[in-house]
Amino acid sequence: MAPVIGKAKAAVDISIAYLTGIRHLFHRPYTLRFPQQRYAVEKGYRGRHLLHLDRCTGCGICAWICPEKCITIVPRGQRWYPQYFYGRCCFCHFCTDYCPEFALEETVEYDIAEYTRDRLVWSPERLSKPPVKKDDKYVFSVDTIGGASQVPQKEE
Amino acid sequence: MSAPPKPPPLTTVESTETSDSGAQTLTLSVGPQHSGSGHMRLIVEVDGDIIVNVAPDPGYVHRGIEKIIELRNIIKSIPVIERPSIIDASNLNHAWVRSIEEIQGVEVPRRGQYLRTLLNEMNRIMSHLYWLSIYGVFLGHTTMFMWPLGDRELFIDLAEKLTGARITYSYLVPGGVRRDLPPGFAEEAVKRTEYFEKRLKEYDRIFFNNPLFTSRAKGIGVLSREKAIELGCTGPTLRGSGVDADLRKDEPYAAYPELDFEISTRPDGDSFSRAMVHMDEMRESCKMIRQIVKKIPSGPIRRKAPIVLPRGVAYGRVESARGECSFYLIGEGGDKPYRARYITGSYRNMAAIPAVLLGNRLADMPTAWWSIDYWPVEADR
Repeated sequence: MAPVIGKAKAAVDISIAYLTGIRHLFHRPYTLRFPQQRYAVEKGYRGRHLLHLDRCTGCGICAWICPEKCITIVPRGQRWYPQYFYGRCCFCHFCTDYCPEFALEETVEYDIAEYTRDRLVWSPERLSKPPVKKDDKYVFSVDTIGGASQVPQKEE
Repeated sequence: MSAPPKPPPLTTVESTETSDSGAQTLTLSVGPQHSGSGHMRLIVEVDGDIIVNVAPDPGYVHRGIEKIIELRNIIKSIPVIERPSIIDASNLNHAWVRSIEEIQGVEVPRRGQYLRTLLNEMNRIMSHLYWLSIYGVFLGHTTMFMWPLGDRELFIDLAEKLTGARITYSYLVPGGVRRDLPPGFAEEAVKRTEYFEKRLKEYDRIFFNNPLFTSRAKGIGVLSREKAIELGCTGPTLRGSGVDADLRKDEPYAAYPELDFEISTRPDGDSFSRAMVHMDEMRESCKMIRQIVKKIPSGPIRRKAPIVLPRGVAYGRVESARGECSFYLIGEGGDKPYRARYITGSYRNMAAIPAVLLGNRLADMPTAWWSIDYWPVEADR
């Protein structure tokens, strides 16, 4: 009698497993179609750096604290500014924390991949430009009915 | 100009190995580039399809992190220390800052301690979910591969709001943490942990109660209580063998003494027990996250700590997702340590690999092996 009960229980458990999976066919997907649908990160995200040229004194503390040695201090006329090599940057943003003049800032720009290596070297002038506004509007949302998924951000 | 030397003539290689009993065995090399082993090699000797001998061959992803730490100052070392196990970054980071604070004599403010604990518990869930998704795909259960990786996003997104980074946070620094809670974090954390607990029930239904899993995991890879203690296992591997040992209870640090949680143990010591310990820990971590955002005291998050490591010796240890992670640190008065010994949970659990695999069938190897939650990069450091 015991093997029959065991087999019946196994059949029930497998049916429950299948039903649990099938139920999720009708849920919203978790994923985004990336180049068309872009994920919007919140302010405070540690993306690429923004350099305020007017505040920077060229002291070099950012280059000293950088764990990956990706910052070089380069001359521009009478002054010195940091230049970043994003091929090495690990986005720890210790440079932003340690800047005594608040000349560095984190931005929400995360999509900075390039086709060539030399394009990954960001000069002080390029770093000082504010991030390009892209159509980042999808955010991760959890609600009790629809579950978790990426949904377009609500307009404010 | 002389001619290059001739290559030696090709000869047939004859096997000289003979076994005393007359039984013929076959030696297999599983890894180092094998989806079922991670970045390490297991030299497995099989008789038929019974495993008679296993020799783990670690070191494939050794990076010399202990030496790198000696050459950098204590702040610059933080991103490096996270790299061995980026899915469990904040727990490893916590061991490092604890050992530094012990030498410096810096006391972390209570709010800072709570924020550290919050990130540690979120990281524990992320790490266990990653383990679970790989376990699913090892056993051919593709849904269990997709779901945990998708649900990791719940906590990765929370961690991104808190720290600014999705995986490698560099959030814990000597003296406290780098950022305070963002507005609206507490409600979001409660909502997501409650949703995640519902998802864990679905995991039970689709995987852990499923006979396709239980028949392959129960009684496979048994590690007895005595053997687990003898081999020096830690973490879920040890608790899966019925030993009630967890640093969060035994030597409470950060905000753990003020939290109400239970240590999950299972007596059987097989693959199923170890898997269920991981599931129970995720449930407990959800409870802890809700308690933390409710109880978190106000006040400063960081106290000023010098960048200099005074002369002294310290041993800082925490319970990471894979077991006890510890630093033995010697300072000599400069900004770099004289020596830092770095031991992780996977390194301690390596001794259990032969013990759980011996005597099993080769087809049961993925079930038994991955239930230890061995992360080769973390063990090689």
